[in-house]
Amino acid sequence: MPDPDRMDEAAGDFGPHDWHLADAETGTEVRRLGPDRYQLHHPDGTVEELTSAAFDRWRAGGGSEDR
Amino acid sequence: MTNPNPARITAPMWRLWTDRPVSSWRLGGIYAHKPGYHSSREENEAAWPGNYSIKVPLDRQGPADKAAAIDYTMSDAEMRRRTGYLARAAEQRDPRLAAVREFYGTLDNRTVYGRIKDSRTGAWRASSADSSHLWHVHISVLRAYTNTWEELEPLLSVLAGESLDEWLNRQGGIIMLPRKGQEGEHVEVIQRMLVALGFDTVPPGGDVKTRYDGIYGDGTAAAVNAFRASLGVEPANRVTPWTYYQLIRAVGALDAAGK
Repeated sequence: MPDPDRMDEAAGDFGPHDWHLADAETGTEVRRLGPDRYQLHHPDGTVEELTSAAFDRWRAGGGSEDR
Repeated sequence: MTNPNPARITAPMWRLWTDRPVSSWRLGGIYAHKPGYHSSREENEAAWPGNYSIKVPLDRQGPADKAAAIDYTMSDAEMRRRTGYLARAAEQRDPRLAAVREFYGTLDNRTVYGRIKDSRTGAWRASSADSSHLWHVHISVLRAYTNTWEELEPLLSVLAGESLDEWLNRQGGIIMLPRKGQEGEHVEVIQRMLVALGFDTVPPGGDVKTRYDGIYGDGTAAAVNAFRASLGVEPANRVTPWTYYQLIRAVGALDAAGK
């Protein structure tokens, strides 16, 4: 039975068939290929395969200093 | 960067991005044509009429054509830290989250943590979402407030890790006039003045422990309106500046009379 209090996207794994906009300013999208593999698709057509650690570094961007 | 889609993203929702507390976060998105808060109420009504994002009363108000959610993409460490701030605020029923409908993130980088409520002061309960929320924080706001910066700004204070006291102090001595549905010490002050003037905030048969509970519920609303009626004015769903002035005058008169 569906959970009426669940958000729009189905709960559970974000898998290789799921895409998510990771950076709306550049248009970069991400999908998860496996437990430790992510794929970034950049708007210029380039594709990067990243480990979880590399994906974490990409998300960290220029650091996490508070303004 | 300027608002990329003013037709779908209000200026206050865009400020949730431009005024974020950490410059290195990436914008995961605000508007998206999909079921839920990333799209507008009218889109949900047309394409996904049963969606939960258009059901509660405060989602039936506000702009019909605007998005009401934001995704912040951030590192694992930031995910734990910022989700922690949101979780703690929800546990403490922090009024700075009054305009928030739900949020999702992670406290441990392994499981998604989500909370949802149905109104400004409703109880938070657990909610679930997919594992992409291990690397982005999702926040939905009640659609009534997508165009009201004063309602959204306090959320950024929570995300910044500011305490409620720090935030209140930072208001710089501005008198916070409460409205129905709010809670906090600024409501309690009004309750104490009303009771001192003989306008009880506990309705007949009500729980006396709620007299100074700091919640602007039905009892306090009735007392505010009884006070206003005593001065010959119509009911209001908030303490207006005029009402506040009259309360101060009346309490001052009590003190002058030694009551």
